[in-house]
Amino acid sequence: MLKQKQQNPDWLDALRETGAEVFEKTGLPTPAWEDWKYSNLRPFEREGFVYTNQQPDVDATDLPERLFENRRIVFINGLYAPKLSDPIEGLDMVSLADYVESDAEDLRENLTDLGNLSDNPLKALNTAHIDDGAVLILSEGIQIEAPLEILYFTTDKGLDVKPQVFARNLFILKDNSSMQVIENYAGNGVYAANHVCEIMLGRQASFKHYRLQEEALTAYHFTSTRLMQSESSNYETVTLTTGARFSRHDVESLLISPKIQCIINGLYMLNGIQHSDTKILVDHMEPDGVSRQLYKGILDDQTRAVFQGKIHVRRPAQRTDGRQLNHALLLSDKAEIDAKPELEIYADDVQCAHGATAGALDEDPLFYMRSRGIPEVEARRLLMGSFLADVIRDVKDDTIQGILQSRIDSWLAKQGA
Amino acid sequence: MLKITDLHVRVEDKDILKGVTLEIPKGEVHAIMGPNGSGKSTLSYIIAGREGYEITGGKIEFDGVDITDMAPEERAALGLFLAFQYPVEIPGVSTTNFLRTAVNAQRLARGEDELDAVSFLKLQKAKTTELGITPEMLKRGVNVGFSGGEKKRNEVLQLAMLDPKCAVLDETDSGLDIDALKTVADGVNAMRGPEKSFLVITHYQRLLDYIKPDVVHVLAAGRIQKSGGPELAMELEDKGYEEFVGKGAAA
Repeated sequence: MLKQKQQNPDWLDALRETGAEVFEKTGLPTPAWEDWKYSNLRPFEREGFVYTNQQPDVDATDLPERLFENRRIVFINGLYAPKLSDPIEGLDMVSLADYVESDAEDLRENLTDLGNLSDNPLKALNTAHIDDGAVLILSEGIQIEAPLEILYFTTDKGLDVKPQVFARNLFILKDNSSMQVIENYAGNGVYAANHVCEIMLGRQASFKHYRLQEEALTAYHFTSTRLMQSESSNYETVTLTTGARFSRHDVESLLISPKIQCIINGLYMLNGIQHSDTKILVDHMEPDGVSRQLYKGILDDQTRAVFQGKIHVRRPAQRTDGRQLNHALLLSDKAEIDAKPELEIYADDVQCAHGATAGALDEDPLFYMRSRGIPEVEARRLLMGSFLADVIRDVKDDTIQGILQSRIDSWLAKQGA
Repeated sequence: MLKITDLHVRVEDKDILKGVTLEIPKGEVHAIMGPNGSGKSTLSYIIAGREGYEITGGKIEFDGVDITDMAPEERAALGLFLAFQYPVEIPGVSTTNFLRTAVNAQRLARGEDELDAVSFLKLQKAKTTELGITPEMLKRGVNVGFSGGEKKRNEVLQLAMLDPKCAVLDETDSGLDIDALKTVADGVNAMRGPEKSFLVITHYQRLLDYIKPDVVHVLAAGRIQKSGGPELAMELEDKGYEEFVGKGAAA
């Protein structure tokens, strides 16, 4: 099946050209780049992924189970799949292609602000291929209580190439609006998924944003998230990474107004030869901001995780309260964690802290549990579960917490089994 | 019930136990007393199956089964219990969850059905009330934020819940005031019976005022130096361990 190529507005074509031009100049980043010191894209290059307008033949039975009843929006290989998606009350349009057609001003304004594209070649590459993506725009005061799921399913099924897909996702929550979203990345076969996620929060807007990165273990996953928060807005995110052979998540959080709360948490649980790289910049520009980064991970076999987190506090951002922690549990001698925590502070009245630890499972509690009759495998699972627990402890929605917990449990259940 | 024969144990090239022989018949309470560094704690860990020790000779039998090379959880399922001198904190795992997992793991290992939630909670409630353990403590992570006395009471709660055939109490009196000591001793005494054996390891005679032993052994310099009745404990309280320490050094 061939994609329906619609007539694109000039600004969109121009945007793509910009993306292509920038990528032409930069190429893919290499470990010589400061931000890419611990991650090498050579294996990705060697796979020979192709951007194709072929679409796979996917029906509902190929997809993972719904997280919530009747509240799922589905994208297949980067394109909105209306037939597989549920209508969501309060949202007339959910895809970028629809918004482009309606020539919505919000869309144009937000998409054309690219930030410094040459620092982020993968975003440039995505920009060069903008087609579709999840776009949710909440008008002022709209509060959607029930959480919804956005499933990005990617597959090479029925294709004669290894596909490289792009999704351009945009979440705009205007003043006093709120919602909870789980983005769920899944698929099968050999493919590369490149996501760009732009988030704009209006005054007192609240966005709870959960991400399940459960891509196929033969896949490559990239997401660049950029977040702009207005006064007194609240952003909370948890990224759970168990999928993909290689994944990279870039987060840039711009606290451009006072009194913002921004919580960026994550869990990574890897085995085999998985590699997961997270880079976070939280940029406090105005006073009274609160930011938290808590990442925890379990690394088995020959896996490698990278955590590069930075809190930047600019001179006007007095009374900033920023924390950043990364704790990794290494189950194997061949697993590796590279943590690079950074604080850059120019304001004088701030509270900031960072920390990073890495270690093996503690032997004392392990023996204690075993001496009570708990088999070693189960004792290990209990300890690992308790190690991860505080990352999702503050997720208020019980259903969502249950979903995250069940992901943790099922990963742990496979350990040592 | 518990039979240790000529046990030799080494840790990092240092001989800690140099031929311990000891038998605790069913229904008896034995005490091991000894100076610091005599190998008391090593012996308790070895009985429970802790890794990191090299057993260079001898064996441990439990209920007729050679358990020398068994995993700790297998020994526990057979009915062996160690009350720790320093109970371990496990943040993030509630005491209730820990107990239920342990009770059911042992039942499964013995081929019994798991306890359902209602029966488990009923059992737990009965045992906690006796020991003065609050529901709030059960919700907290195992031993997290517990005082020394609370930790020891939690050990006795686990002992009561798991209902082993033989329990080793390692310095259960350390860090306890007299009231806590009484509570703990009452908990242990309540379990005494013709089917149960206890091995009480202690430095001081004080605990033995509350948990009356049938036999007292003196462990010094890696060997049992002397065995006798309860009066031996009194004697040690008066004379100290000097006599035995000298012997060990010469050996």
